[in-house]
Parts: sequence; C-alpha cells; structure tokens
Amino acid sequence: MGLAGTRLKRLEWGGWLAVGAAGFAMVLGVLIGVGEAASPGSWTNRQMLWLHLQPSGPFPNGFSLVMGTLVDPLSALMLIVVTVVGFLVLLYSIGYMHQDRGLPRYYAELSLFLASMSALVLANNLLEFFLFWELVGLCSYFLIGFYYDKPSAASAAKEAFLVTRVGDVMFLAGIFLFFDLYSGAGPAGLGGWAANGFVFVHNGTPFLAGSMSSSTLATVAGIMILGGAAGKSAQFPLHVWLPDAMEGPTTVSALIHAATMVAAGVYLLAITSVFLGFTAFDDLLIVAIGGFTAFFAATMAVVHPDIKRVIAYSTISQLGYMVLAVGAGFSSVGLYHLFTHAFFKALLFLAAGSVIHAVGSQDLFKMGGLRKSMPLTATAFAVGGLALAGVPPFAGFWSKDDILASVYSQLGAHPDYWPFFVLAFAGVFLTAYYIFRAWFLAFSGDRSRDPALPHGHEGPWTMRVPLVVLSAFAVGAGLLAFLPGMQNLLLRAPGIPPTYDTTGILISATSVGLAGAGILLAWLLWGNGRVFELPAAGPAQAGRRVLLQRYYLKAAYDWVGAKGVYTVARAADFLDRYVIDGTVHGFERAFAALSDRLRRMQSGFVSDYAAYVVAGLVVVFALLLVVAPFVLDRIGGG
Amino acid sequence: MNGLSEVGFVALSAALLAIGLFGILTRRNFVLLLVAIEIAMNAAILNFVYFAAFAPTVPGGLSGQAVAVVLVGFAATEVAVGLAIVLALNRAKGTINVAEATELRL
Amino acid sequence: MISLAEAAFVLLALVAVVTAAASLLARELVHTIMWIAVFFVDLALVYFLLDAPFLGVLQLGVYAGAVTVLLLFGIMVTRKRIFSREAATGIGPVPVALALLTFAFVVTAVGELPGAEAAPQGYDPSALSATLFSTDGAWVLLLGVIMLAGVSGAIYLVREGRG
Repeated sequence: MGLAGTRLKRLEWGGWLAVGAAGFAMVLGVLIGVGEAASPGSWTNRQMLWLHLQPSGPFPNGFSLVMGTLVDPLSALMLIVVTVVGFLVLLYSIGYMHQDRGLPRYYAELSLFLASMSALVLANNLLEFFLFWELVGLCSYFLIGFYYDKPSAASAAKEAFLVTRVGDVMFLAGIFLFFDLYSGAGPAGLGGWAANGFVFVHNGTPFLAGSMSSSTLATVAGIMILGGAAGKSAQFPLHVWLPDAMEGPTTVSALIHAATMVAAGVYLLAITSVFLGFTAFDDLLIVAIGGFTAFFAATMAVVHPDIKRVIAYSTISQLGYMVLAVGAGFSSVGLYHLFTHAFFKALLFLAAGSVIHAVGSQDLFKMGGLRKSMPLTATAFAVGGLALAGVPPFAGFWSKDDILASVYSQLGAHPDYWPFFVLAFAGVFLTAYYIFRAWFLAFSGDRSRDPALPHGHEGPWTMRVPLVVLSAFAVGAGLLAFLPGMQNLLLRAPGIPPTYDTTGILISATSVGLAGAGILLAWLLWGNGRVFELPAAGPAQAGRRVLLQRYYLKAAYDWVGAKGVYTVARAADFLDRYVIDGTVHGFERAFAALSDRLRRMQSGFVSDYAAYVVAGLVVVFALLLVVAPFVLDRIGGG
Repeated sequence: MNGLSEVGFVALSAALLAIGLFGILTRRNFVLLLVAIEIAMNAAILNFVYFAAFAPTVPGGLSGQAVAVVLVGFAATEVAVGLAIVLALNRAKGTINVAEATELRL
Repeated sequence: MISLAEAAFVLLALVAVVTAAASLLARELVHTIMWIAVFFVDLALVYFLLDAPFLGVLQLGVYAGAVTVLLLFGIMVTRKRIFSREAATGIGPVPVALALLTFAFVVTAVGELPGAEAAPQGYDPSALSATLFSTDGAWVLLLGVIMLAGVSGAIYLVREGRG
C-alpha cells in the first residue's frame, strides 16, 4: 500500500507534484519488480485482519476479511508496467494538457487512478482486488468524462461505467460462487479459503491451486469472473464502451485504456486461472471470446477515420489475444503480451496525442505529410506500429507469436479451439493493415489532405521524452523475456521464454509474412498521399458502413436499453407512483374519511346519542342471547 | 289465579319498551321526548309488577311491587326535572326542538 | 274458552299499545297529552288486573294525575299557541330496526326466566307496606334522595338570572 500516490492537488504546479509522486512510485515499483525477479518471494507480504467472524452456522470455518499486500511474480510484473507507464504518461501530460482548464482535477484523478491500480495489483485477496477494481472503474468514469460539458463525453463516461458495471456485477457473483465452493475446503489445517479472507497465497503456496472441482458451480463461477474481465477489458459483448471512451484526453486513453485498467481484466483472468482454476468449459469460453474479439475488433479498425478510435479497436483486439492465451492455459504468455503491449500501445497513443496536440484534429483523412514536420512522432508511431504488427525484432513479435504458438500447441488436445486460432491468425493481417493505414494516412505524402490543417510541430520535451523512452521499450521489451529475471516474473511457465522448434518457426514466419502483406496493402492503398476510394455504390460500401457502425451492435444495445430498460423503468415508476404511493395515500384518505365519519357521531343530537345507546343495548342482547349459547355449546360439547 | 299467562305480559312490556325507544330516537320535540321516556319507564315498572305477581316463591317476590312503587316516584321526579329543562331550553333558544340543543353550552 | 281475565288483558294490552303509539305520532301536542293520559289509566287497570291494587291507585294518582298535568304545563308554557303543529322527524329505517330488535330480544330474554308457568297471585297491601318499611326500606330512602336531588336541580334550572 505504500505505493499509493498522493491525492488531491490544488495548484497549477501540482502537475509536477503528481509527476514527482509518480516518479517515486515508479522507482519503488521497479525496485520491487527487479527484486522479485531476482529472487522470487524475497519481499515480505503484510496483511492485517479487518474483520473476523467465528465459525458458526453458514461459515463452518469462520470468515475473515483482510487487507494486505502480496508481492509475487505476477503482481511485480504488473507493478512495473503500471508505475513505469504511469510515470511517463504523467510526464507527457505536463506538455499535452497545459492549455486545458480543470487541471488540478485532472492530476488528482490521474493520481488516484495510479494509486488504485497499484493497489489492485498488490492486493492479496479477491475482495480487496474487487475493491480497487471498482475504484479504478470510478477513476475511469471521471477521466473519460473529464470534458464534462461535452455531452458526448459525459454520455461516454456513463456508458463506460454502466457497461463495466454489468461486468462488475458478474464478477461479484463469481466471488460469491467461489466463496460457496471453497469456504469449507482448503488444505488441511488451514481452514477454508473464506476463513482466511479470500487470500490468494498462504505462506508462499497458492491457496487453492489444484483443488478445483469441475462441478457446474465452478463453471458458472468461472463464467461470472470472465464476465467481469470482459467488461473491464472490453471483450465482446461488453466492448462497446472502449471506443467511446476516447472522448477523454489522449493521455487518459494511453494510460487507462491501453496499458493498465483494461489490462486488469486480463490480470484477473490470469490470477483466477492460477489460483482458483477454470473448468474445461470455462477455458473454451475464454478462448472463444478472446479469439473472436481479436478478429472482430480488428475488422472495425480497418475503416475508421478517427486516429484514436483505430488505436482503441486495436486495444480491444490485442486484449483478445491475451484472453485467448489465458484460456488456452498459458496465463504467463498472456501476461507477457500484456507487458509488451502496454509499452507499444501507450507509445501509439502518445504519438497520436502528439499529432492531435499539433494539428488539433483527430480525423485521419484530413492529415498527410506529417513526417516532415514531426519526424520524431512519425518514427515513434512507426516503431509502435511495427511492434503491434509483430515484426521482429520489435516487442510485439515475440509475445504475439508466443501466443499463437502456445495456442497451436493445444489444438491437438482441444480441437474446438481451431476456429478461434484461425481468427486470431487472420487478425494479424488486419492488425498490420490498419495500423499502417493510419501511419500512411497521417505521415506519408507531401501535404495534408485538408489545406486548412495547421502545420505539425513537435511537442515540448515533456512530450518527447516519453515517446523516446516508450519507443525503446517497444523495441526491447520482448527481448527481456530471455532474461532469467523476467522469466522468474513470468513464473517460468511453459512458453516462457519463447522457444522455436519447427512448428514455432513456421508459425512465426507465417505471421511475419501476414504482417508484411498487411503493411504492403496499406502502402498500396494509402501511401504517398494516395486516397483509396471504394466504389460509391455496391456491396463494398455497405460492408464499410456495417463496419463503421460497429456491426450495429451499439445501436442494438441502445435500442435494448432504451426500449427494454426504459420500459422496466417506466413500470417501476408506475409501480412506485400508483401502487406504493397509492397505498400510502390510500391509507391517508381512508383514515381521513374514517375520522370524518366518526366525527359526525358527535352530532349533538340527543336522538343520535340515544340511538347509539340502544344500538349498544341490542348488541349486548345479541351477544348474550345468540353468541354466548353458541359459544358455550361449542366449548361444552367439544 | 285465573289463567293469565306471563307470556302476554312479557310481550306487552317489550312492545311498550320498543315503542318508547322508537319515540326517543325519532322525536324532535322535547315534550314528546319526555312522553316517550315515560312510556318506556312504564314498561319497566310493568315488568316488576308482573314478576311480583307470577313468581312469589322466588326470593323477593313481593319486593317487586315495592320496587315498582319506588320506581313510580323516580319517574315522576324525572318528569319534573325534564320539565325544568324544557323551560330552560325554551328560555335560551326560544324553541323546544332538541335539534337546536346540540352544544353543551346553552 | 278464554277466561274473563285473559280477555280483559288482551283488551287492555291492545289499548296500551295503540295509545302509546298514537301519542307519539299525533300531530297536535295536546292530542299527545290526551292519548298519554288514556295510556296511564289503562296501565293502572292492568295493575288492578294483576292484583296489585295499591300500585294501581298509585299509578292513577301519580301518573295519570301529576305527570300528565306536568306535561301539559310544559306545553302551555313553551308554546305560544296550544294547538300547534309540530314537525315530526323522518322515520328512518334505523330507529325502526333498533326498536324491533329490542322487542325481539327482550321477549326472548325475559321469556326464559323462571316462574313463567306459575299462576299470578296477589298480595295484601299491608304486606306491601310492611316490606316498604323494612326489607325494601333502602329503596324508599333512595327514592327520597333522588327526589331531593331532582327538585333542587329543577329549581336551579328554572331560576332567573341565568343566561
């Protein structure tokens, strides 16, 4: 917890304060990470007991809530990613955001995010993890809606929150199901999982690894966890929020929606796979969603005119690859890709940000020839693009091909993985194509397509330094996997480091070939200032429209939401207004009427009072003469 | 002594009581109210008298007549007081319609 | 063959009920008084039939005498014209129902009391006075107290000087 950043800023120079804090955090994070890499388990984990219920009734082994830290290889790896990228993005922000208003809020929210994300990866139990998961989602909401007076931004923030909320609810349900599964069981002598506060690791051994059953309950729990991860990591069908999240500042997109928060979903899947366990059905589902999303998102990226959204779809697609790897049983390989992806995706975003900062527009079709005026940015973008496409020796090559090889190795045992493998493989081609389409559109050629566009220029040093650093990482991060330290961090699982036997080389060669083909196609269509126009009428245009409309999925969700949810809301309102309020008011009216009637008894008329007396007399008579014998009969006889 | 049965007297007394009650409940004129009260009271007194006549072996059989005597006195007193009320009401409101006398304060 | 007493009783009962109802339903106030006077006399005859002569005389004296005159005074003092009409209230279903119910219940209740089969029997007036001053003396004293209270109250109510 010591890495929690400072919270609120009030002054302009608070930006530097935030950067300083992030830098401090980075130093700590790297130290921890390297230390863990050198000798795993060397850092002591602390935890404190928050709440403990004695064994009773529903809790045969008691029930605890703890708050603590866990520094194990996976969390150390994530920590490095989070703190390094976080620091660089904050540094970049100084230059990028210096004209915007509301800066204290920005730095405060960004710092809060950094703190929450760090705490999330360091959480030692599932409940604490969930706590920071929610907190991170909240920061995302704030930051997407940073330009809150833009209605599109406000609604995008709401959309992000609500869609991830669906995932969060499923996640929570998954936690409950796992609690139910494992509350009684556990290694002998250690009590139940819940009795120990849902911690992942106890005295160095994973608490639950291997003790998973393959009952229906476990499968459903796994599906719920997957739901949570899909929401956070924008996998199909909960992917719709991420493209719209580009309404936020580009730095936000770089940090949160490329490198860290969306990675939390993958991290969750990895953790669950390692410590809790997925059933075979769950694995298949994860593979399916991951593979499908990888392809699906890439198709939408190929036609989009907005530079940020292209990169956003790319993120969704790459997350699909990571999810695919986890589902195939290679969590470490998935996290490896997460590691490299964080760097080159952040690089791409920041480079795009540099462009946006210079020319004030995000529309690719207005740009052109920017490599002359912004050479550093052009190079950075190219480096990132090559890494993304998976061209050796850039980082993405090692990790992405590792994924493909690992999944391929499982195809024998799981033939139902085949379609998704194919989809993922095809995605390689699309990935290369769309990212270089973007590069060619923006940077190649001689002049901008839109004459009114301002001239490009490089940003201040606060923006350039992160670009350079990230470029270096984009080049070298993949090779880190060959270091023993890094391998420790990745648990020395199968697939780490990437090995190259015959099949491996074949796969890599094919993927590189596909990537090259994609880049070539992009050059043919868009290079040198060419503009490739589809025929105005015909199926191609329709296809393009479908892709642009994101397969009308978003529209479908909107319609469902508007009709379905609104109807439910209307019904609930009706219920509230007429039934509940009606009941309350009904009581009101009934009492008022009753009291009114009763009040009339006080008429002051003697005859009325006499009538009451006689009526009472009659009642007494009735009781004595009719009811009493009847009752006595019953009592006596019965 | 001569074939009289009690049932007839019971019926008569009950009938008179009913008539008297009816009068109390429906009449607005105070004097008529008093009359109705008297009818009812007479029904009650009649009760005592024929009980005394028909049940002498029951302890206090003769006391029935004694009580009836006393009750007659009661009734007379009550008429006197009622009359006083009528006079007072008339002085205050100028009417003997009981519908006017709905407040405790005259 | 109905005995003389029974026939007399039936006649007297009918008269009682008729006059009582008539007095309440009469249009003119004075007619009320006349009907009620007949009613009182009729009741006195019933008492004579029941072999309670003292009570019969008492009824004649007190009721048919004093009470009737009192009621007449009441009318005279409060009405500007003696022969006036008084509006009657509506006869709603409630009073009728209540009255009928009372009748039914009383008949049922009283009819179940012991001694219903015996023959009536009369007393010597001297025996009556004997009880009045011994066993039932308390009743007499009570009567005295009540009368005192009543008279004082009546005087108070009609005194001058009150608003």
